[in-house]
Amino acid sequence: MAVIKKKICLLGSFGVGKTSLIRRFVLNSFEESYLTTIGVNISRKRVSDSNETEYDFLIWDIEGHEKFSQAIQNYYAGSAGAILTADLTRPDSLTHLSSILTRFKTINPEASLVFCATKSDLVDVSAGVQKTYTDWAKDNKLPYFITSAKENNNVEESFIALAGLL
Amino acid sequence: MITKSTGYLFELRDTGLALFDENGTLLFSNNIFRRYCRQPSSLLNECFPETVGLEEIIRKIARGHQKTFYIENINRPGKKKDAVYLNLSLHHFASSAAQVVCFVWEVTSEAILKQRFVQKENEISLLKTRLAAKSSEGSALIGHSKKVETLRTTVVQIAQIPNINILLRGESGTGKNLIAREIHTLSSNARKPFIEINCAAIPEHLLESELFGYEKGAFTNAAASKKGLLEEAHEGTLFLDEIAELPLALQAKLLHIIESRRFRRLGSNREQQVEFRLITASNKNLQQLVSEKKFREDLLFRLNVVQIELPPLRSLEEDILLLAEHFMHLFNLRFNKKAEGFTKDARQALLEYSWPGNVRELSNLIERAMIFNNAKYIKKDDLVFQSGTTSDAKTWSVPDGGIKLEEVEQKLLLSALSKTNGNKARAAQLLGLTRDTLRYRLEKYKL
Ligand SMILES: Nc1nc2c(ncn2[C@@H]2O[C@H](COP(=O)(O)OP(=O)(O)O)[C@@H](O)[C@H]2O)c(=O)[nH]1
Ligand SMILES: [Mg+2]
Repeated sequence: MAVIKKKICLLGSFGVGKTSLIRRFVLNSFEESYLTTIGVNISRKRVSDSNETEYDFLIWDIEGHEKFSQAIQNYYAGSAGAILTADLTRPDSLTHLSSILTRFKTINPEASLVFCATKSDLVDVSAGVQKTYTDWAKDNKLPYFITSAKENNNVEESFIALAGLL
Repeated sequence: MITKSTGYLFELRDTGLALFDENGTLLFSNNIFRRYCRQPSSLLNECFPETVGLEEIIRKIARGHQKTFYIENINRPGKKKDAVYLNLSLHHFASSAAQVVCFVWEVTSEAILKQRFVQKENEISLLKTRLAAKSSEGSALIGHSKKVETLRTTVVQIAQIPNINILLRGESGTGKNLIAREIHTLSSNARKPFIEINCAAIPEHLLESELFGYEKGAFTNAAASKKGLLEEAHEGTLFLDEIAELPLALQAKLLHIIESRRFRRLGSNREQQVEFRLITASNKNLQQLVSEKKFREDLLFRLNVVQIELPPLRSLEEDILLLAEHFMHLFNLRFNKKAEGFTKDARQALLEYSWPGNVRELSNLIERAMIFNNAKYIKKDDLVFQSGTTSDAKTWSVPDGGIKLEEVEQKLLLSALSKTNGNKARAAQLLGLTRDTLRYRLEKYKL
């Protein structure tokens, strides 16, 4: 069966761990140090959903979601799906994500979406820190995952879930 | 008409040039374009996988329905470790067939400048949010011990019951305010206000107007009306810390509010309805204050619908280490450090200390140990305990079965000697004795 090429964007405020999620998924590695992404860096990986449809994911790691310039609109254009990210240690990143999502939808109203709350290794999940995040996902009717790129938790699962929605 | 020489001309300006049909199939390219391609191919979306998903846009441009489209700062791995940055633009090319011209050129030096600048901006902004985050966030509920597990389940269960009054009991520094906030966060009123008042921190004569608010002219300085904290807490949570310090007159008023769910601003004769969850906290024995007539029994009865006991840190055993690590991670973030753990000695010292100041003291201790320290592991010497000995006199108590004073004395003598490696002069100093007295006591016990 032919492999289907799909453009997938990672959306979220700076420093929430977009690059780290991609690095974990594609290279299975993790970096502690923070290097701001500039422009767009695409990675490629084959993903199969549960029906064994095989996708060739072109994963867009984008900088500058804070603005909504023409350049950002062009980055978003043509996405089949997106992984939305917010940092469990920074509740403000969830507020940012809401506005990023609204803007992304104006460009790609049909795109499939999955939400990842990131850096679960830094918070006490058993104490319910993630509730605001999961509530937000439920309010927006999004499938969600509590992830850690550092501890390789739910990273692959998120991408596979997205493949299942395409 | 694009020819080989057109391609060459653009090479002189370091620009890649290519021509595609409306399906993105390559018709022509120059050397520079081919050099920047991700892989050699006759398809635009293989040369530049960044164009996957743009099929519709490319067709529009080829047919002249859209003029251009561009992608800025495409990252490509460079020769060494550094990235190369490219701009790519697509344009309608007016010819007989539907065609798209593509330009690619390098913008690495500008992008690197931008990278440095944005990196600094982002780092500053991250540091600011980290600083704002409270140092003890979430710490009251960390741990695997039975006590913490129980506390955690109680908090989750209680939070689900709307507007039930809760009294938090525990030594100072055990994180009563954190538990109060946690209950609020987990409750259905989480998005409503959480209002916190420390009854001991506000002078008695201000407390009443702070709580109840006032109408313009209610007293000399009341130039305008002001909402009180009770009103602010409407539909949310009101947390009164150190409730034992609430003056008797205000205790009566608070009781009235709890019973009637109504109150009046100072200088107003209009009663208002308020709904909130009331959480109170105290490190004092309120029952005893009742018997001393310093606290109203009827009020205590109302406040105490559910009582939650916060365990002192020293009773949490191994959880002390989990908490210490939690704070280490937190201060790693806050101070941009990379500590990975504690040495064996340091862990031992943390476990043996008596923690009179509880979690708050632990947080302060780790903070102090990390501020000026860049080591991977926090050592015992980095930990500056408040009370010099590992057990504070206040926390000593005679075991239920009783204890022989002479036995304790012998143990202390031996411990002092072992601490000083047998140096009697220093051991005497540690115990506040003269050398002669020490010698006398050692002889007495034949030590
Ligand atoms: N502890 C922890 N740190 C993470 C995790 N994911 C990312 N980080 C750190 O967060 C910082 C920002 O991550 P990055 O992926 O560059 O964020 P981006 O700006 O969204 O691409 C880096 O210092 C990462 O090491 C995680 O799962 N756990
Ligand atoms: Mg990044």
